[in-house]
Amino acid sequence: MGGGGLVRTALYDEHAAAGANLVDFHGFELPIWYSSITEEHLATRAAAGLFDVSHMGFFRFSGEGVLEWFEGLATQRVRHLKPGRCAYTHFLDGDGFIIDDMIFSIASRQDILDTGCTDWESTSEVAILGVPNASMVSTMAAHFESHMPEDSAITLEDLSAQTSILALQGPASPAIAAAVLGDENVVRRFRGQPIRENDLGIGGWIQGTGYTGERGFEIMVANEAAPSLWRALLESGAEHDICPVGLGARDTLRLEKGFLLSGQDFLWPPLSDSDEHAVDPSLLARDSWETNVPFGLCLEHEFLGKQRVVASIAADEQGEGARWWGVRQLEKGPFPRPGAQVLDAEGEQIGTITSGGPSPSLGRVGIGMGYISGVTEGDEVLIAPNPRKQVRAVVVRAPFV
Amino acid sequence: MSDIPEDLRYTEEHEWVRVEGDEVVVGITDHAQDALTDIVYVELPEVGTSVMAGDGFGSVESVKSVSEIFAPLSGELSSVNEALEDAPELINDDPYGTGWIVRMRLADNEVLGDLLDAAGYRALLGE
Repeated sequence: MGGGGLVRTALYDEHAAAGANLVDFHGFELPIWYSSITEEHLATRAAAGLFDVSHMGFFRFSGEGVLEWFEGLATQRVRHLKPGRCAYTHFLDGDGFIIDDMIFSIASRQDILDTGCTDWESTSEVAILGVPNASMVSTMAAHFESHMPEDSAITLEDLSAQTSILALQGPASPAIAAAVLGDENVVRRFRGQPIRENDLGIGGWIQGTGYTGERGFEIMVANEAAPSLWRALLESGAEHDICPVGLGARDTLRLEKGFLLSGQDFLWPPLSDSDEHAVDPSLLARDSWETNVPFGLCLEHEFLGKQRVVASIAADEQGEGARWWGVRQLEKGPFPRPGAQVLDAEGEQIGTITSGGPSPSLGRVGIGMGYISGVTEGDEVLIAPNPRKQVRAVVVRAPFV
Repeated sequence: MSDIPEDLRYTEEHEWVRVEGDEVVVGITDHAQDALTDIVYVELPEVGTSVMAGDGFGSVESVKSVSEIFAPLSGELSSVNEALEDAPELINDDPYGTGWIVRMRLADNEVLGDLLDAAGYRALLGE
């Protein structure tokens, strides 16, 4: 990005033509909504939604021993994963705090060549394709570079600027993907492959992942190919009532599934001095156990920062320490929002909401996620969204829908 | 360009005030409802509450955001628009009419002098 201006993705003209309401999101000019957050949310759950997530980064890791090296930094097991598999992981710093989370996939040498790649710096038997969060691309690149092996066997290529990522999400996604890209490209959940020959003549990578909790795909293509793919998916998806979806519904969709949002539900301490956070940044310095996410953490291997995870598990067994729980409001009232206090029956603060709002799929019942101490599923708590009100809520385990 | 009726007074917090006898009616402006997008919840205060000008006494929420409602003047809340409990979208549909939020009986000596007129509010919005 230059001159302090906003970065426009390769799909900017499509968004503008569609009348999207555009906002500054981590320096990218992206749609917050096209028609309305609620409509786009419900369309994605019922049929299909198409998202421009090109602001997300795209890394390619390769070199001899890349799986073993990557596993040493990841809370997820990696070395047993075969080409074509995708997985979710956290990366911790040396103190055990989450720096960022990431979906990654394993690709064989042939897979990489089949994506149309002609400039692979460091060919190897397997490579890893990873999608860091938009605001964390440079931080994560620096983290990986600082943990490179001394023999420089591993290469990290940052392909973010040249790659567009389209997310097709919702129950109609497989039918739409099949119509546009052919049956051969309809990958299963958490599987990935190079985009096989198709009528559009585009190459790249497709994986059965997303941030909505629905069946769907994330499709990585060269920027030049993004507009034609975007238009083809919308045209072909029209009979399934597909709609383009902005960042607003992306957030409510992930909230209903209890997926963490980097920078909001966890925040790496060295980035904490910004004042744009509704929640005290020190409350957002967390490890994987504290996030309570039921996937992405494996304790069978050694990884950077593991000691804090082990300590958090021990503290949890003693009934101490907070974890990231869901809360669903039991009565009407202001919605749980980032920074809202969670109180016990005596009015003592036992936690803080980090994400929340009305659930479009549940008829606008108030739902939230937050770090809460000493509770378990079914416990009743009070949410204090402001000094005037306390709203009864029940502790639940995500997903909400 | 948003609707700014000439006969109302306005605050910098994007609220409007209409004088009706010895009471005033308060709501949020067309500009405010448009910026909030779909309003999904309104937190109404208790009737009878005494407020000082500038006090936050309620809130208006869209899917994505929360906006405090501030007392534009000092006085006592004489009624609240209970229709908003089940139909918060009235504020989007008719911000100066059925989407009103509270009525206030002004404190003694309270004057409207500090509130913006339509021209002043239009200037605030840069319209």
